[in-house]
Amino acid sequence: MAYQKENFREKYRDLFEYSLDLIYLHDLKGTILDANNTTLTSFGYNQEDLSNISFIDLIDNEQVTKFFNALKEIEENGKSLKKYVYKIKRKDGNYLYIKTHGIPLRKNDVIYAILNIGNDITERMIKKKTLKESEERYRLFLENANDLISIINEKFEFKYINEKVHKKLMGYSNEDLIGKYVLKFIHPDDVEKVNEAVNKALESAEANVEIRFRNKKGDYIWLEVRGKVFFDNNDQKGLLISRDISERKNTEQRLKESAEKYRLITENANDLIVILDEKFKVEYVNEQVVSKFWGYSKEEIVGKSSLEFIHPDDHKIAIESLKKGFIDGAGSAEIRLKNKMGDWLWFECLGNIFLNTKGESKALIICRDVDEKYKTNQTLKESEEKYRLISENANDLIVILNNKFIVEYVNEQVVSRLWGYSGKEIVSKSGLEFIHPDDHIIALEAFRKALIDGVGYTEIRLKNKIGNWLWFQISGTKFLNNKGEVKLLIIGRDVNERYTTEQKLKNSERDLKERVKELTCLYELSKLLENPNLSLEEIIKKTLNLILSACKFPNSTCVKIIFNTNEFKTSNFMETEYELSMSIEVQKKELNIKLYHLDDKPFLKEEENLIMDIGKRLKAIIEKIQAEDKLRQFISLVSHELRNPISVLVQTLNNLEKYKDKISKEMKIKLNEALSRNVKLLFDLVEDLLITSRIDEKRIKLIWREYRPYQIIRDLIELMNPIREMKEITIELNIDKELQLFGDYRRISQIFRILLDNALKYSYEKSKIIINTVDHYKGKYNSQEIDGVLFQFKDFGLGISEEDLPHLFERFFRARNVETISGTGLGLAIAKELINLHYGEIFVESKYGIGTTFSVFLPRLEKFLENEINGQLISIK
Amino acid sequence: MNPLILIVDDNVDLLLNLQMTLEFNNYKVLSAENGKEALKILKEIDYLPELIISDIMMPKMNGYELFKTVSKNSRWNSVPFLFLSAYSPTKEDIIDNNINTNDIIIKPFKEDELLRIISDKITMK
Repeated sequence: MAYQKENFREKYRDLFEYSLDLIYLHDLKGTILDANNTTLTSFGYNQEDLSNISFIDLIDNEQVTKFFNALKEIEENGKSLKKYVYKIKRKDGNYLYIKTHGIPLRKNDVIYAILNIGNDITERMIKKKTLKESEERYRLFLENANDLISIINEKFEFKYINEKVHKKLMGYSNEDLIGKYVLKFIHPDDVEKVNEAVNKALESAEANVEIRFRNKKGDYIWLEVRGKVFFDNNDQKGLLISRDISERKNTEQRLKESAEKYRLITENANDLIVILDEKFKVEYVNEQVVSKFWGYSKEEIVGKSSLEFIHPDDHKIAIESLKKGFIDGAGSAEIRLKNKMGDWLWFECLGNIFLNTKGESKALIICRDVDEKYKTNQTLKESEEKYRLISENANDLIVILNNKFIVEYVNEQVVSRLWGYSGKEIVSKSGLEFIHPDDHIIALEAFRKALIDGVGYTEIRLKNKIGNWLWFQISGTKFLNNKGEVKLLIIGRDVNERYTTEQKLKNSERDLKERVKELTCLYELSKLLENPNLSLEEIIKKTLNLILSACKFPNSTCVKIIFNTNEFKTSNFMETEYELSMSIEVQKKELNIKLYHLDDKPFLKEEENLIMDIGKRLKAIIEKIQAEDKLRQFISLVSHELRNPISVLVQTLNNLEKYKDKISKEMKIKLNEALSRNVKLLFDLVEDLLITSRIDEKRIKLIWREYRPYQIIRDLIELMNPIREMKEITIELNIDKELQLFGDYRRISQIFRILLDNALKYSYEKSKIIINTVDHYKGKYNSQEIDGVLFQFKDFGLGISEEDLPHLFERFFRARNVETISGTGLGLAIAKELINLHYGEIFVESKYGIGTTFSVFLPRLEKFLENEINGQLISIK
Repeated sequence: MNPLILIVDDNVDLLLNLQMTLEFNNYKVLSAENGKEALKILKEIDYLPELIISDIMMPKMNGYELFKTVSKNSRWNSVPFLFLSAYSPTKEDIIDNNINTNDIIIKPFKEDELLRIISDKITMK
């Protein structure tokens, strides 16, 4: 029964034309009867080829059996029970895989052909194959790797191990490990590490850990385990790759032991041992040595640049040898290192380069303290240098003579420098040529003595190049040269210099004598100062003679001292053109000392200094005398001031008693008034003196309270009414009656009393005194710019000269034009001090002969507590 | 007739007492408070005092100046002069003003002593 293509095709046209499946027919021998386009395309044939190919041709021999088995299966069962995969050889020689099953075509119950429906599974097959190959490869890799590879599940049980490797390295087979708890095999000390690694792996998917794993024999093997967490069908699993690191660990341990050994060596060595990195940073230093010999702690060095400890001058050499060391592997240098105390010590440093475990280059440097040696060498070097320099630069002439008095050597430098000769001009000549003829005999005698005794001395004249004879002190020493010949080493010292020095010494002795004269003069002068019985005039007169005695030429010198228009002269005084003078200001007056040479001689610098010195001392004397005068004057004034009221009291009491029957009642009243007035005056005066001394001793204590300046001033005016009326003076008082200030009532009253008293005392008769006040005053009398009141006391009277004005507030000072007006010279000084205690200021302006204005600024002080007043301003409104 | 004495002192209380003492001791007294006032009195009065007693330190014209003026005046220079002072004059004061140290009475003084000196001075004249 033949396949009728057209009929069949007609019947299955659509199927043939549109199916993406492979559809082909073959007969029971395998001859292809028909095939759709998909099949043709897949197989690489066209329609025309079909009649010539058999399916058997398309498959290899191994598949032919499979093909007939399939046919047989269909014949026996009437259908294909399974799908068959065939590897088809395409027309172009490539292969493709198809999976197909056959459907028998019957006619009259007889199978005449097989209709095959299949698909191209080439791609899948290739993938499968690749996978298989890959799996195989991995399997091989796993089985043959040197690393232990295992997979564990969430319960820490082994799910997979590369058995071969495990067997080989640990002795375990699958049965020993699969399903077993991993930690059971791990060294108890390392369990903690494992846990940490697991935590880390869970966080970051992987982790490394070094642990000891028990092998089948029961020994622990060091493993480096790399773990990776992965998911296998949603199960979390761990892939462990472990490497046997026993060897490394053992090496490390040995290294550690060895390092410890080295550490002990280095720590106990006397040499400094340092490890530097490539940037010269100190990584290690043997602490013991560093602290013992150097004073540093380890922390003070490690981590720092080694250059910090190297002398700046040695930086270059240190850097160069280190750089070189890192290239060549070793190096050395001698450098100075600084110890803790800051001393620089010489070290000999040897360096070796080694690689650390991380493969980094490090320099191991051993430094030996060679300071002592170095310094000794240095000293030796210096000493040699010194001797060379001495010989060459000595001022001594060094000559070697042979036994015939011929010059064999001369230190040319000296000879040419000091003498003008070149070496050639001297060497080989007789020494006598240069010796003064008069000195030949003594020279030869000394020469002979030296040859016999070994040494000889003399002083002779030697001629220099320009023909001058110079005195030399010669010493000769006999010696044998290396040939055993007798030679004489002559050292000649130019003693002309010594003569000059002696001359200088004489001069300085003379200077010293002069100095002694000066000192005697100054001493005598200071004795004058101590003598209390001498007046200024007497002192100046004595000073005149003292100056003369201190001068170099007392007989031809004269002196004049001028002070405050008074002239004092020595008896021989005469002005000449050789003048020496000094001028110094003493208490605003000029003190002048003038010296003249009667012969035409200049004065010495020393004399000038002396005169300056005497001037200063005289100034001190005058100041002392004047201070004493002032004190005397003060005492006299005080006593005068005291005597006046006392005499009134004495007289009044005397009169009241002696003439009591004769005195009228009216007169008695007057006398009683006089008594009380003078008692008060005495009281005031004593008070003034007391205040002065209290101010001096800083014992004054203010009682702070509110007061009304108006009341104080009004009371004072009333008190002073008798004087005011006597001089017919009018007082104009401009003040706010209600004005209140804070301060010590009594002291303020004292201030105003002093000012008012002065105004009255120094006013012209029938003149006027104006007292003005300005509240909240701002201006030049309020330098601190604080709130307060200005009080001005203006009088029209004597006034104060410009010269006296600056001294007005000085204690004991009294203006010249008021010498006859009684006063202690204390009033204004006291007023100023008291004003200061109130944080105020006082100013004076005056025109001589016209009048004076005192301006007092008192700040507005608020709420002072007595005990808070310690010279400190607490608050100002 | 009681002898006339001119007393000069700027201290009015002392002046008052002095006047009283002298008057109770049979002297006639004229008083001035300073040198200028004293000169004015001297010029005005018809007959000269037997004695001038003057303080030294006084305003306007002090005792020395008064003494100098009186000494230079041919009419007055015969009048004896006594100083009554609260302080001892210095050497310079004495020399410069040509003063006899015996003519100085230092305050405070005893009445008897004062009267004796006054009496001596007037008698010596």
